[in-house]
Amino acid sequence: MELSLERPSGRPSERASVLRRAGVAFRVQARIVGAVILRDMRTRFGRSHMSFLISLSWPLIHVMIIYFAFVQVAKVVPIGSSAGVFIATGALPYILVLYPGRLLTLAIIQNQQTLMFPIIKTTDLILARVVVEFFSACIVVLMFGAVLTALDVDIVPQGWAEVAAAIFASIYLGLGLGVLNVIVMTLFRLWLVVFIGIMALFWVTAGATTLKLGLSDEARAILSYNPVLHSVIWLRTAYFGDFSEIPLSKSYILGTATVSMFLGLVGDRLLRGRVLMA
Amino acid sequence: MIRLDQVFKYYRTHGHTKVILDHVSMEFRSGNSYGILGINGAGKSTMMKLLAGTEMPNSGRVRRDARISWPLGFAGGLHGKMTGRENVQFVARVYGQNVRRVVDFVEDFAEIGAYMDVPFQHYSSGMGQRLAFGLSMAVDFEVFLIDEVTAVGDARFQRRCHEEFEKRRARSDIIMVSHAPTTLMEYCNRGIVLANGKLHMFSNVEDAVELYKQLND
Repeated sequence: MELSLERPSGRPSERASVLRRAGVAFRVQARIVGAVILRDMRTRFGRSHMSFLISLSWPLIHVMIIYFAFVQVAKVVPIGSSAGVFIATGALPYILVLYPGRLLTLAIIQNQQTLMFPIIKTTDLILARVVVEFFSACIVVLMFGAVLTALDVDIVPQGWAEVAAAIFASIYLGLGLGVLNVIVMTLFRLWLVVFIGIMALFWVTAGATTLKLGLSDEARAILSYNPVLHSVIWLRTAYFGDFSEIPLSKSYILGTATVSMFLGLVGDRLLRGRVLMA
Repeated sequence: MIRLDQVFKYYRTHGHTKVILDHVSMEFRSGNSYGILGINGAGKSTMMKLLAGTEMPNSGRVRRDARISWPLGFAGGLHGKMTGRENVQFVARVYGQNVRRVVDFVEDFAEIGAYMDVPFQHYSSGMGQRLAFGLSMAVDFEVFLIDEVTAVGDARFQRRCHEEFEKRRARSDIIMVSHAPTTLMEYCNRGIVLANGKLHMFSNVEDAVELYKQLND
């Protein structure tokens, strides 16, 4: 059976209920997003069947480099007894924010030609990339966990639920920043460089390799604006309890992610004409 | 089927503002096929993009109540690194079509043989046009947008294009841009002239052609 071909548009028919129209619109959007996901995974790194695996290897290699570099030089760690757990809980949230945020930035630019098909909207490209990056991040977490286990690092936390919450919050933050990045990037092509600069600043101030306990209250107040610092603290509380460089604000992470995503989606709606022309 | 509501569209190029549509309201009704004429640079192709929804107006709204094609035979949406088959599969999925049916149709229609499994970037322009035209014919649209091209390839393939397109015309409307009045008269029953940001609608193509000739004099 052929599926519904087109998005419902124009004035709603008097007979069609709003719910039915919404259901059709949802099914059509899911179909389009699904097709774009397959195309995106296939084409992001050339036309190799390994394309998606290559995209997974980047963040994994990145976090592994940080891990091995740290455990080689770290003599003592500020909290806990394992350098591996300390750096893993510091580096992983950063990677989970950086990569979705960075790769989402290119969601429209890398798939711009699909917009030649009238049925495909910029929102579809963004949603498709959000789904791909979410699952990519989850796979990276599992692979990193497997590698640490293979290296005999004790990654068993005080509470798995808190670990899962911290990891999903970090991914959500990355996706939220990424959705906003998509719109800014299509209007301002140098934005990717600016974003990477911001993320570098976040890395330096996130306390991934060293805690910020010795800083003044004023300095710590400024650092508390870094959402990645909160992500790192959240994950570490699942391993080390309440060690608190600054008071952890889970709502700040979730709020930053939600506001960013909202602004990105509103920007997509309001600036679609300029985005299409970019 | 497609309604323009106070649509305003302009471009800024080199400090100069070019108005394409100046607060235009118009209705393209189902059951009619429209031929659009305009001098070079009037903005005919931009107007087609506005109708398709691949470009947005600066103000006003374009409402669509029909399944609208991409410009007939346009290959710009196909990915160079994907094979012809993969590109066809992607479009079939996006439009909710039976993937196997669409692939079989395009494979048979385009007659490019083993090139279906070669990356699109290695196609000759002729092969690319054949694939793109076949793909346009494989999806059921209520409105076909045509920007000049109605057939591609050699004489035999052009006949096939016309035969296939005639089948589509029986159940679909056409909005066509062309500089060739005879082509518009063959396919369309209404004429539109785009000039100075305004659309001038005529109940037949002949009258539109007359105005077009005056504009060109």
